[in-house]
Amino acid sequence: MTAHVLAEAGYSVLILEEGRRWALSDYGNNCPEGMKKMYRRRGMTPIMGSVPIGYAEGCCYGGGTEINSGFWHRTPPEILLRWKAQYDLADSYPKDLEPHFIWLEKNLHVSLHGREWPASTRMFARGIEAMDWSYQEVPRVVEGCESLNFCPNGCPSGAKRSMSLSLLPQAEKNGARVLTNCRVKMLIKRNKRITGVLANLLREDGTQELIRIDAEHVFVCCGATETPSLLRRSGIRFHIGDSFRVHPMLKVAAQYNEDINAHKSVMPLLQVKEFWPEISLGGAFFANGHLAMLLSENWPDNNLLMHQYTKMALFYVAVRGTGKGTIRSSLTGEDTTSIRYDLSAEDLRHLSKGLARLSALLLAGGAKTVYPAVYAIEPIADEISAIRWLDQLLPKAGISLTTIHAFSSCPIGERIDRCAADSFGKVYHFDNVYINDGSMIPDSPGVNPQGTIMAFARRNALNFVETNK
Amino acid sequence: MDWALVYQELSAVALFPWFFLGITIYLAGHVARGFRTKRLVSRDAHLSLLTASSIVIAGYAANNIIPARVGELIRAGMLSERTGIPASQSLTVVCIERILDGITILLLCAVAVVMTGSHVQPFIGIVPLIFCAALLLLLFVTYAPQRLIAFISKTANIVAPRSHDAILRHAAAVVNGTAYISQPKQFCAMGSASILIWLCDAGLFICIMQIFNITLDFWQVLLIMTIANLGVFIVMSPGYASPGYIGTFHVLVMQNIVALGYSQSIALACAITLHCAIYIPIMLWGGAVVLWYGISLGLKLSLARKARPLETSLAHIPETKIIGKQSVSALDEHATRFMYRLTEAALPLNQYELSNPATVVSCCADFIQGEIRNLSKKIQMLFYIGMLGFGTLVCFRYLKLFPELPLPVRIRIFNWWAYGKIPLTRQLFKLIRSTALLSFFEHPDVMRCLEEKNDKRK
Repeated sequence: MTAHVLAEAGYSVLILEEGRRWALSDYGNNCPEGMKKMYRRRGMTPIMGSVPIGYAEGCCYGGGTEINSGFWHRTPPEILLRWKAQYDLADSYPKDLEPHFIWLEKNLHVSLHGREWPASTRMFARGIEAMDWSYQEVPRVVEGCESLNFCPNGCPSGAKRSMSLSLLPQAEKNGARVLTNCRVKMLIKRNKRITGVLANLLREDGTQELIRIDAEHVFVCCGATETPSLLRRSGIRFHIGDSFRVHPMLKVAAQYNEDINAHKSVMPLLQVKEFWPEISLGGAFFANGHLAMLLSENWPDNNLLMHQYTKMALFYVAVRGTGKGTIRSSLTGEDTTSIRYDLSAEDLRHLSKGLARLSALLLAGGAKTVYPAVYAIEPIADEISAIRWLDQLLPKAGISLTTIHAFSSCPIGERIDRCAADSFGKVYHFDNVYINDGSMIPDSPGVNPQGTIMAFARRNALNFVETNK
Repeated sequence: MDWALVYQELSAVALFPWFFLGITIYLAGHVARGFRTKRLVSRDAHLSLLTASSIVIAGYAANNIIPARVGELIRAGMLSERTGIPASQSLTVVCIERILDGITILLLCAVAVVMTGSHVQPFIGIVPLIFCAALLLLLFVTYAPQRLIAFISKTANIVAPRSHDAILRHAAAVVNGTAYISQPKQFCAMGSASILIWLCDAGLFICIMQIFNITLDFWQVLLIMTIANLGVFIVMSPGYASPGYIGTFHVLVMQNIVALGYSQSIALACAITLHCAIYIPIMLWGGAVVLWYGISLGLKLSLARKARPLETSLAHIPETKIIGKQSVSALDEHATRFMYRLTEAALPLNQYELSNPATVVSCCADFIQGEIRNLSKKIQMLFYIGMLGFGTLVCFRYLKLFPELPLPVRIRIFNWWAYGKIPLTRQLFKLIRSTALLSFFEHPDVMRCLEEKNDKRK
């Protein structure tokens, strides 16, 4: 987003991308192959804490948008007002962001599925209607989805308008240059300015070079974990990496009496709005491997369910994380990042309640049994078993959580006592370094964050162009 | 000192077989040194064992005729010229070798002191301090290279901004020099090679002492060898520095043999013979190497310059400056035997009629191994500590290594650890069971089996 705006405004832009540039023909692999190609550290970036959380992020040309579901939400107004109150975030009222959302939705072809819902979505809808809860079909950054079910491994049809197919080519057309396989080691600091970066450039022949790139302005857009890590490695630590947040997510497998064939269709497209923004219920990507991983929490009892994979579908309960997290670069300065998030009591309560509600919904929608990714708890086969989690807490030692939504590690806002950068991403105490990615989001948005991140990124980039005329 | 007696002892020396056997063992030690050099530069250059050994010996030969260990610089220069690696990198490699040598000698000396109950000359006291400081520095550069680069970049930016890139280029070369030993396994391998090298030197001492009927036990010989080598290391003290260590070496060897009850004349004769055994073959081999090197140097240098054009920026991105080459650590994609056996125990193989289960297991094991190697170093270390604990406990319980156990037993053990009631063991095995099942159920053969089962069910 940043490169697109700056290149269009006539700036000389150089994008440094750590991952590789893949062609569309390289997409659509099975999960292990996809992880090898497109994920940071092949998906092995766990978040440590009182309850370890499996976390994965993209590391390729196009970043996380290559491997996400493409779900699009505008930031809930209530959340924006909270950020205004807590972080004094300037120009962040819904009306301020609306033009950016409109522009993005038009240019990224944000739209509804527009075809008959797949079986897993229909089952989910049946449950929601039985519970009489409010819900929505979530628009996606997808045009003409063919239901190939490759969202997390790169959409081979090109229907998903990921950055490698949408804004990046436009930026390159406007003159932006891209160096892939280029990992920035540190920013070169001189007083209050960044004069350039030191990076490792991996060549096609397998050799690697240490390079220095000089720059007038530096935008750090490495994601919620790597942006603070890079800044800290470079000696920029003011409120950097101290307030990391995620959306902890508990997955469940639902077994139905009839064939769902979730492995052959796009993930369920609906989300329950009834408990937003604290609790969100929805459908998750399905692959046999993912089903096996979920069932492995109680594998000796559940392994035979794999034979009925056509009757299974995966769903999730996600909560707006209120725990505290930190991001630290490794002590040795190596290219690894320590990620920590401690689940709060509120998170656990919301997850337990979410499980109760999701299970009740799925059972009402026709599911025979619900299998949560929690060690040693009985499968949920009736409403009474589901409802008990409204009052009981899930066991911390047995719960298996994942997330793909991470943010807030370098919050922006005018409150210098708690923010790393001003309302438009300019890092405090520095003249020419900016943060413009998920790390700047001041707090958990409670919805899929792609829309929020892109709208703020566009707003900040345009502000930069305006103020540097 | 009765020089007539010394002459008498020397003239009565029977060179065959001990003298020649000693030289053979000593030269084998130098070939081992060559092997160590070859491995240390293996990430950036292919060096034959003969060339690597010749470079080492040329350095030793130079040390024999020039004082103050100038031979180490000559060795680094030759290494740089023969491999094309920067001089700072080759100097780092030589430093690593010398630090490993120093630490190995100190360890062997400490063991010999304990085993013989002797005391050590006081001048040795400073040597451990020097080597320990050097080892700490080496560990810092090896295991925190980015910290070093960052520190040097920041400092250079303040102190000498114009020379920032040049300074950083040297720092990067130093880091590259340590890249090979950045894997603990390889560090240990180089340490083991160093022990072998110095045991070869001890072998020479044993052989030469046999000529003079000096019958000492192994630990006493080891003590004499280590003290002699530690002594000649101290070049800073003018009293000890001399080309070829003439005098220094003899005094140290003689004093120690005399202290064990032998006459001065025998001890000096033994020291002189030892020195000859060290000096003559090295000078012959080293001299030949230097001669050959001198002849080919001019041509090689001009060819090398032509072969390595200096690229200062990327063609399409002029604001980019190439500072220097960096080592790439290629990930080993293949599973260890332990991981293969563990994976085999984790997979529900008996439920699926796979045409080639071994291939599936191998594929899954490779995937798991790759995933583990991508974990951050901290988590990886915790994981390996856990696995070491697991392996040890299994070994104690069954008196066999885990991979040696039959499959049903391994499955039982795996299930207990991965799905049992202890959260810590479950957490440790979560990574393996999850990635094993993910790769298994995404494998085309397994997916085909599942589909067939599903079709039959319908």
